[in-house]
Amino acid sequence: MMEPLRILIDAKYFSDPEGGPQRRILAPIELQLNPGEFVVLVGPSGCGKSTLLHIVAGLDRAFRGKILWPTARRGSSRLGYVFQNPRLLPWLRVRDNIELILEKPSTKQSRVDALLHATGLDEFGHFYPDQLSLGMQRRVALARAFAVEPYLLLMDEPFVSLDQPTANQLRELLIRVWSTHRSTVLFVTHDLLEAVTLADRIVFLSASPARVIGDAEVDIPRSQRGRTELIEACYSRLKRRFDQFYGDE
Amino acid sequence: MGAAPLLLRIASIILLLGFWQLGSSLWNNSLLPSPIEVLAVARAEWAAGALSQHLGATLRRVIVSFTVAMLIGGAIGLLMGRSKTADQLLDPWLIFFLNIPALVIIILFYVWFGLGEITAVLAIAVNKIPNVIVTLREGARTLNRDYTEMARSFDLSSRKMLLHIILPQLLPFFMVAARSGISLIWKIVLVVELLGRGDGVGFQLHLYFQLFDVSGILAYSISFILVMLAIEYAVLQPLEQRTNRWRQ
Repeated sequence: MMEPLRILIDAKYFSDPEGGPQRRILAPIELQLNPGEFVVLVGPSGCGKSTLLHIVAGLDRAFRGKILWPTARRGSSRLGYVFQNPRLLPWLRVRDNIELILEKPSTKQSRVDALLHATGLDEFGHFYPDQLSLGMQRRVALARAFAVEPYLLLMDEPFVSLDQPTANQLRELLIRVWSTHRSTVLFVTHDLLEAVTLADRIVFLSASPARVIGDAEVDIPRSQRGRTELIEACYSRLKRRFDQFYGDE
Repeated sequence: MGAAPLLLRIASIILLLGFWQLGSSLWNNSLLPSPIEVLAVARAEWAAGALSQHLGATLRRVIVSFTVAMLIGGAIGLLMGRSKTADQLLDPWLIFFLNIPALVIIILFYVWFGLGEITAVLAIAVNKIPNVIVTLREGARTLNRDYTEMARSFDLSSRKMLLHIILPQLLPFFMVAARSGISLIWKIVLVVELLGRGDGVGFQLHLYFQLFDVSGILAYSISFILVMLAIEYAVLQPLEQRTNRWRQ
């Protein structure tokens, strides 16, 4: 039952729409995600992290390689996705945005209630997304992704362009909700501190075309993650490697 | 709408009627009847049951051909907006049909398919379909990929995809096509009725034209304009407001 999800990519090219030469986006990448593991991908902007997530999600099939899903997938849906922009449907109320992606009507009501409660949105179910702040919209996107009880949760820089307190709040929220669902998470960021705060394991990707250039376990137990001195110690240890990888960027 | 704009609107209508009344009393000729005379004709026709019968016939044709045009034009427009091959294949036809005069289509349909009700309605719809296609194709081209990707990654059924992702984005384009469509269609309906139907506003206009009876012509055309105004204010505008509720 502990079979991992394996991502085996040989190459991914983007063709130039003007007919120029193809550009290589991804070099060979091999990743194993163990069930329930929280893996953070760190890499410079534009290195192909989002493309990698698209491939894993099945949104982009024009690549060489394969994604091997575990055969026993705990009767839950395959995928939850939190995008960089919340991508809520502005013409549906918050509640309907979450209900839309659920299949069985019988379980909808209670599950949506529970998720709205868990994400602190009890009062906002009947709001339209545009009536909410970006931080609140991201909570909804988070609730939506967990609503399908995904085997794998993909997160593409879901907390960028938020102020620090809001981003921290959302990270705590994420870990709280995640610890009850225990999905496997593949989380993309370029922020090392965020990676250290959240990850079980950090994978470093090179600049484009992306390949894996390093791998680090974050061995702070989940119960101790509130202790800033532990996070900071781990951060400064990894920061040296980070600077070697990416220079002064 | 505030009180002042509403008053202005009413004042503008009264002013128009005033000019009309003034003109008819200056010219004093049966070819320019006064608004009061026209109203009298309309009331007489209404009392005889003729007005409602012909307005009803015309309205029915407007609604049926409008619906047919929106459905067919919407489907083709969506296809052409989403598929490059379909777009390139069908675009010359579209330009061809956009440029055929309405009269030519109507005459040919009557000649080929006979002077029947279905022919009439189809001829009207075929005149409108190209406009609907152009508008909806534009809409389909602007569909946001972010939403499509979201829907695909959450494995939404194609029914949900159409109902909750695609159609809401096309709705403003549908409204534009509907707005411009309904006013275009009713003008074409009159021609169709004039050329080959035994009832409807167009048929009556033809009759009064042969009698040179301007009161009758005005009574029928203004009555139908009022019907169209009622549709605009009672159906289209509330519908548009309802669908735009989420926009702040």
